[in-house]
Amino acid sequence: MTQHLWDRLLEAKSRLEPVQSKYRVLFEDPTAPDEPAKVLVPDPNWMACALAGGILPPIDTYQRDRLVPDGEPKEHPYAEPIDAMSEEEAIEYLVMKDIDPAVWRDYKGNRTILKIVPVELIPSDRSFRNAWRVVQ
Amino acid sequence: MSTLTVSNISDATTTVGTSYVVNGSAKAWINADNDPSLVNNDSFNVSSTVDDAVGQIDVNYTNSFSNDDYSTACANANGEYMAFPRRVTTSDTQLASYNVEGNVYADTTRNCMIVCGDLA
Repeated sequence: MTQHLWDRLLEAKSRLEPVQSKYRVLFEDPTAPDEPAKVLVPDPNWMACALAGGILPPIDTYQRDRLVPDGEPKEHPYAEPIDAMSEEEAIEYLVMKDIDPAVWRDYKGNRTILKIVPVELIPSDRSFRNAWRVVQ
Repeated sequence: MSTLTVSNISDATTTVGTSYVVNGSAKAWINADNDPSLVNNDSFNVSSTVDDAVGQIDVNYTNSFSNDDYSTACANANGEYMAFPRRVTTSDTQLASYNVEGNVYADTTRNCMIVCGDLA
């Protein structure tokens, strides 16, 4: 029987060293055009799990679970874990898991609203943080 | 990994069911800075954080919750700030830090959150 995802995470936390990603995902929400650009930061413990393999479930289980009503059984905690990913594959997985499909799949406009960038390109000066936009 | 299967845990005077321990433990936690930029200092059951805007961090869970009625406890390192869950779903929580003296959302360090509830 497949071990529950939470148990696998618990075991991984005690075994794996955290990995700081060299990437960030910069995106805008097309359903909220007045909001500033958002910056997704991969969690170091999660990235260690992604690079190690045998812990995280397939991404399509999360996508099917988006449609499951609250309180109903979800698929992703019980799915067979997938093999190790490269860091780039892990970032693509995170985009599909943690960013709304309205951003990465459904948007058909002309503006670029999602970019995967090296961490050095994210400004460290937050004086005008609520005015950030994705550079075109 | 080996598994110890027991229904009760006892210290010879008091006995509790293991379900009390399992159900009562935190299912996710995080300690993150968003000043000067968003950094996850440490966490458990978190896949990513999103810098949504000033003072607003979206915390995404690796293992989602069964429903959005879970309980969160939030705090941060600075006395003039308060932290609270601004928006809650089964797969993420928006953790806000608020400057109570200036009455504005504001970035600060060591934004912490512990989550207890039923996992999916």
